[in-house]
Amino acid sequence: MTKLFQNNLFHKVLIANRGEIALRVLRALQAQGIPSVAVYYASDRQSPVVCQADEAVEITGASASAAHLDIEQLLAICKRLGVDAVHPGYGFLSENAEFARTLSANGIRFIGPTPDVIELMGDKITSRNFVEQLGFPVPPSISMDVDAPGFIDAAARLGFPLVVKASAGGGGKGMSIARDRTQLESALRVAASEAEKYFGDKRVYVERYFDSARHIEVQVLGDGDNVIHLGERECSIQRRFQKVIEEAPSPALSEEKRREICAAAVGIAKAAKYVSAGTVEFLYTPQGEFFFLEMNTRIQVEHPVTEMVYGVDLVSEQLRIAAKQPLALTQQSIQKIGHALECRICAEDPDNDFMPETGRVLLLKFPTGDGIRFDSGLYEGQDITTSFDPMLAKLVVHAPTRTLAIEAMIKALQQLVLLGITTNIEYLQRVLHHPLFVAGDFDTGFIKQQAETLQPATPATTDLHAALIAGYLADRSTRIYRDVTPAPYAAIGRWRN
Amino acid sequence: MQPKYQIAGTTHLVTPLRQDADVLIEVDGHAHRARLHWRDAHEFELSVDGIARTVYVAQDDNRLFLHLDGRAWQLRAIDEFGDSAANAANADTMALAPMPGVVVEVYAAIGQRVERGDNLLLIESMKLQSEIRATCAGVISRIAVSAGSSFERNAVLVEIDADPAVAGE
Repeated sequence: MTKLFQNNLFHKVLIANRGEIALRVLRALQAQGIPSVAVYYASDRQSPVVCQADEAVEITGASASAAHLDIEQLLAICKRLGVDAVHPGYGFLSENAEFARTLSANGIRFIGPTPDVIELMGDKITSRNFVEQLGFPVPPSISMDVDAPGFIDAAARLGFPLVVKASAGGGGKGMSIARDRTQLESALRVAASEAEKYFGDKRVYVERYFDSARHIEVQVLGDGDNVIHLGERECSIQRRFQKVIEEAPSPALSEEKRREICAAAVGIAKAAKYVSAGTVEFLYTPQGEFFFLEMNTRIQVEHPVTEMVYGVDLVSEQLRIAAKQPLALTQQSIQKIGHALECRICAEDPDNDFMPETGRVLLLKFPTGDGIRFDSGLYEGQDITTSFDPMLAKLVVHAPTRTLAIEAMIKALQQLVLLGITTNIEYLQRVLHHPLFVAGDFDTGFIKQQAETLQPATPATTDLHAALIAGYLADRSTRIYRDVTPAPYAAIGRWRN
Repeated sequence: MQPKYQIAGTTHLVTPLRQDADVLIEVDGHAHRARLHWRDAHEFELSVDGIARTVYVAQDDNRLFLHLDGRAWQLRAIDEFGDSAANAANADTMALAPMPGVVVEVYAAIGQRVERGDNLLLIESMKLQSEIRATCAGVISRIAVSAGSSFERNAVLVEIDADPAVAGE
C-alpha cells in the first residue's frame, strides 16, 4: 500500500479479529495512514480484510475461535512483524486483561483500556460494587458459586422474574430468565455449564429482571484524565438477549433524563480513570429510573449509530488515545445531528424461533449512498457455518429525523440483496413498520410480546406467482428444456457491486 | 415433466403452456403471460402480465434464491423421485436437532425412563446453548450422539420407545 503520509501514531497495527469489525478497524488504520496486519484462520482466507490489509498472517488452532484466542501465537506474530499496537475489535480477546498485560509486557500497545479496568468492569460483581459505592443505582442481585448451599433460596428471595447469567459473561451468552423456581433450577444448570466452559469461572449471577425496561447505553471516550460522552444508544429491540436494532438518540429520553444518564456514565468512567472507547449500559424503567447494568470496555457492534450522529470516527479516536495523545474532542466541540438506526443482518430464521441458519453467500449486492453505511466482512462464495455468531453484517442509516431514518432503513433493507441463506432482512422490516416501534413505544420484551403482530404477512398471489414464474424461468434444470432466452450463462462475468 | 416448486413448505405447480415472444405459463391453475430479459448472470427483468420487476437469482442445486421487489424468496425444485416424507413418520418419538450444532452434555442414558419434557441433551449452536427435551414419555432406545459430536439440522439425536398408552397423543 502506498503511504499517503507518515502517521505519527504507530509503526504497524495488528487487527486481532475477523469479519466486519476487522474490516472496520482496517478502514480506520487506512484513514490514519497506519500499516496493517490481518490475522486469519484458514476458513477466512478469502475474506476482504485478508485481501486488503498490508500484510496477512494465517493463524492455526483446533478451531477458528481457538486460533483467535491464542495469545502466544498472536504475540509471536507481533514480534516477528514489528507490530507496535494491537486492535482487538469486539469479542475474542477484546476484554481479556491477560492479553492486554502480555502485550504491554512486550512493549506492544493494547488499543483499549488498561488491564485493571478491564478486570474491574469485566466482572459483574466487582463492577456492580464499584458503581454502587460511587452512588449510582444498581439493580438488586446476588452472586455465588452455583454449588453453594442455599443459593437457590437466596436467589428466589430476590423475587421473580430473575435473570441468571455467568458472573464473568457478557453479550447475552449463558443468560436466561427464570419466572419460577423450576425455571430457576434449569437456568442455573445452563449458566453454570456456560460459565465454566467459556469463562473457567463457576460463579453465577442472579439479578431482578425488569420486564418492561429499556436497554439504553452511553458511549464514552476517555484518555485517563478526561472523559466525554457521545450520547446514548437505544438497544431495546433484542432477541435471545442480543441486540437486533439499535438507534441514536433514544426516543425514550427527555433532555433532562439524557443529561442525567450521560452524566452517570461519565462519572463511572471518570472514577475508573477510563482510557479508550467504552460503553456504560443501563436499564431504563417506564418510571424513568435507570440502573447500571455493565460497562463494556471495548468498541461495540453498534458503535456506527453514534459515529453517524456525531460525525466522529470512534476507532480512530481509540488509535489516537492508545498512542497517548490527549483527547482532542471536548464535550462542547461535539454535537449530535439527526437520527441513526442500525439493523443487524443475521443468518437466522425469525419464523422458527430465530434459529441460526447455515448456507453459502451466493449473491451480495448492498445499498450505498448518502447516509447509508454497510459494514460487513461478507464475500460471495463464503460459507456461513455455525462456528461464529450469526451476525453477517450491519446496515446503518442516518437521516434528519427518526421517521425519515425508519423510512430510509426500510428502503435500504429492500435494496439489500443477500442470496443463499435465510436471513432476518424481511423480519427487520416488519419491526420497522410496527406501529409501536414507529411510536418509539417499546422495551426489551418487544420481540417476544409482539410475536403475534410480527408474523409474516401472507404474500399477495401476484407476488407469489411472479416469484414462481421467475424461479421456473431461471431454474437451470428446466432451462435445458427451453430456448426462451439467449444463453445468459455464456456471458458470466464475476458479479460486482 | 411437471415442474413443482416448494415455498415455505407449500408445493406449487408451474406449467409452461406455450411460448413465442412471451411465455404463457400456468401457476396453480392461473395462466400468466411472462417475458424475461437477462441483464447479467444473476439479474433479469421479468414482466408478468405487463408488470415489470427486477429479479436477482442464485441457484444451489435444487434450491433457488430470488430477490423480487425488495423481498427474498426461497424455492425448492421438487424432485419427483425424492422421498422427504420418510423421516417425518416417527418424529414424535425422536428428538431431532432444531439446528446444526455440537453436543455439550448428554443427560439421558439408554434404557432410561423419561417423561415428556425431560432434559435429554445440552446442545450448542452459534455459541448459544439450549436443552433438548423428550417429545414423549417412554424409554430411551438410542442415543445417536455423544458429548462433543456435531450434527446437522434435523439429525436424529435421541430415539424413545414411546409408552403405548400415550404414543401419538
